[in-house]
Amino acid sequence: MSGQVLAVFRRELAVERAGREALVTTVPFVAAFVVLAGLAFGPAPAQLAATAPGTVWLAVLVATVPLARTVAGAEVADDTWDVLRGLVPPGALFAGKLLWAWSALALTWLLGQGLVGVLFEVRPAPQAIYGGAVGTLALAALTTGLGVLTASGPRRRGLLAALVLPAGLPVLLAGTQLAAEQTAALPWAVLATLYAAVVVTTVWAVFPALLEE
Amino acid sequence: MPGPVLRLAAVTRVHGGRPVWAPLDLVLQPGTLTVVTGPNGAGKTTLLRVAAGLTAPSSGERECAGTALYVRGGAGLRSAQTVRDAVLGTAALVGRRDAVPAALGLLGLAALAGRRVGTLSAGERVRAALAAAVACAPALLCLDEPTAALDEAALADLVIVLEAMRTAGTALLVATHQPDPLLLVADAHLVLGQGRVRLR
Repeated sequence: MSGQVLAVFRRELAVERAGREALVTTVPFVAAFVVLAGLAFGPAPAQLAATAPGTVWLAVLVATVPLARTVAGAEVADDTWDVLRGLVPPGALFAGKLLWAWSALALTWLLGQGLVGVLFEVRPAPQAIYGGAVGTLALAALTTGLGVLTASGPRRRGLLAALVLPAGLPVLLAGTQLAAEQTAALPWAVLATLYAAVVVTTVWAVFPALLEE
Repeated sequence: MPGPVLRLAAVTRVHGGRPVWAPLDLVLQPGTLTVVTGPNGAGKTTLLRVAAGLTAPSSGERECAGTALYVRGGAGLRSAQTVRDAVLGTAALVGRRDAVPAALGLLGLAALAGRRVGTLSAGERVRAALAAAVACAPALLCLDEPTAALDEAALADLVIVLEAMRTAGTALLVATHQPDPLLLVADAHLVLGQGRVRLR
C-alpha cells in the first residue's frame, strides 16, 4: 500500500511539473494577498507585526479553494478519475492525495511566512513551525475530502468555498495564535493537534463513501 | 483452470426508478473477449461501470478477482503530461513501470511518446489510453467505445492489441457501436436493449 501512496504522490508531482496548475493558482494569489494586506494594515510596524500571523493563515486558508480542484476536479475534467479509482484502493488514494495537498499547503505557508518576513519585517514565534505543520495537515485533509465531494458538477464546485472556509476556522485561529509573540502556545497547540487528528481520521473514514457513485 | 475474473449474479442497476436491464448474470473467464452492443441508452456504459466496480449494483452481487480497469474512449491520461509520463504514472500505480516501453511499442507510440496527451488526435488518445491499460495488465479491462474515433487501419490495430491482452490473460469487456471487427475474434457477444440482455 505504501508503494501505491508514493505512486499517487509522485504522479501528482509529475502532473504539477507538467501543468503547474497549483503553482499558477496559489503563488500569485498568496503574494498579492500578503502585499495587499500590508498596504491595508500598514505602514505602522506594530500593526504589521500584529496582523502578519493572521495574514499568512488567511492566505493559506483561502488558497485551499483553488488547490482542492487539483485533488479530484482536475481528474474528473481530464476523465482520469475512474482510472485512479479502479487501480488504487481508497486508503492509498486518500493518503497519496493528502500527501500532495499537505506538501502544497506547507509550501504555501512557507511562502507566506517568507513574504511577511521580508515585507512586514516580522519573525514568527518558534512554535509557529509546529502550527504550520499541523495546521496545513488539517487543511490538507479538508481539501482532500471536500475536493472529492465537490469534484463533479458546477453546483457542488460552487459549494467548495462555503464548506472549506468555515471548516478551516480552528486552523486559522490556532495557527495565528501559535505564530504570534506573547501568546500561551500550549492550548493552541493542543487545539491544532486535536483538530488535525479529528479531520484526518474523519476524512479517512468517509473517503471510500465519497468515492462511491 | 483458474477461476473467473468477474462474476455478476442477478445484478441490476436502477436509474430514475427504473432498472436499466433485467437481472443480469455474467461470468468472465481470464483471457476472454466479450463484446457488448446495444442502442444508445441500453445500459452499456452502466454495465461496464458496474463490472469495473465503479458503480454499485442496485441489487445482486459482484465478485471480481484482481484489478478492474474502466477506460472510456481515449480517456484516462492527464492532458498536461507527455504520453510517456502519463503512461508511466498510470503503470506506477500498480507497480508496473517496467512494462511501459513494451506497451508504447505495441501501440506504435514511440514517436509520440514526447507529445502532450492534450495535443493528440482522438485516435492517438485511444492508443495512448490502451498503452496505459496494456502496461497495467489488469485482470479485467472494460473498454467503453474505444472504436468511435478509429479509422479502419486503427481498428485492425485495436483488434491485434486486444488479442495480445487476451493472450496475456486479461478478461476484456468492450462496449461498441462498431462491433464487426471485434466480433470476428470475440468469445461472446452480449446484446442489450429494451431492458433485456441476450448472449449470442
